[in-house]
Amino acid sequence: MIPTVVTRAVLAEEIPAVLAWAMSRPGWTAEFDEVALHLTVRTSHPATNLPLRLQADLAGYRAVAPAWCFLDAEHGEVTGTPFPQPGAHPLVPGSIFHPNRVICAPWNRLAYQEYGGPHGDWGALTGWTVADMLCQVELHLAVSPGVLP
Amino acid sequence: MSTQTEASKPHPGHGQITVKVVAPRDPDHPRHFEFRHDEVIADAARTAAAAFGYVGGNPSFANAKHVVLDRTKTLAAEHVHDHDTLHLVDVGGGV
Repeated sequence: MIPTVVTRAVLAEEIPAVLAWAMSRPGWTAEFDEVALHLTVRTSHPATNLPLRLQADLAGYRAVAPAWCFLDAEHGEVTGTPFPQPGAHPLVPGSIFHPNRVICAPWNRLAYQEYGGPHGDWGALTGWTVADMLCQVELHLAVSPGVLP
Repeated sequence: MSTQTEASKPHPGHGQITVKVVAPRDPDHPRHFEFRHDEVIADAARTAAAAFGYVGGNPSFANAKHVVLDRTKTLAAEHVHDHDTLHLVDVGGGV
């Protein structure tokens, strides 16, 4: 794990773009807790209007990918619900929303077997910024038909 | 053939369009690009992505309404016009 001061320095460069990105999206908000190194993003599911709360644990970033997960929107607890259903769209193939309630993307460390996820074959995190990750969440959320039961 | 251009550059030539591209990693600093109208979206997006420092991936564009464009089609076929704003997105999947 890299020193926290290094992660904070990296995030000091990236977080303004994340906040600007969220501000440009109606219905999206982003808050960064610099002490906990947590990014909390709130939006609603485009198909159901159900409130969604997404959190990225950025400890160790960029040496390791963030840990992204959906939390209970009201209490912020890890309950596995609500979680978006994977959507199918010809222009956005291969949803990042896995039926096992993990965001399956190379930039989510929770997707890796080492962290209990289904993937062990993805390479190291390269080139993705936190704002890029959030943009891809939005993209796949837009084609998600609802939330998992 | 695509070229990155400045906003103050004179009007592009016949068959060329200038678009503003916004990248999520730097939304406050969009860049302007000149593309052929018949340029395939995947190629144009790759050019723009490289300029913003993206390496690899599956770059594409979304229009001002955040509708993802078909990266196999041309800018003209996807109704991209001169001076349009496009958002850089990566359409690579997970799973």
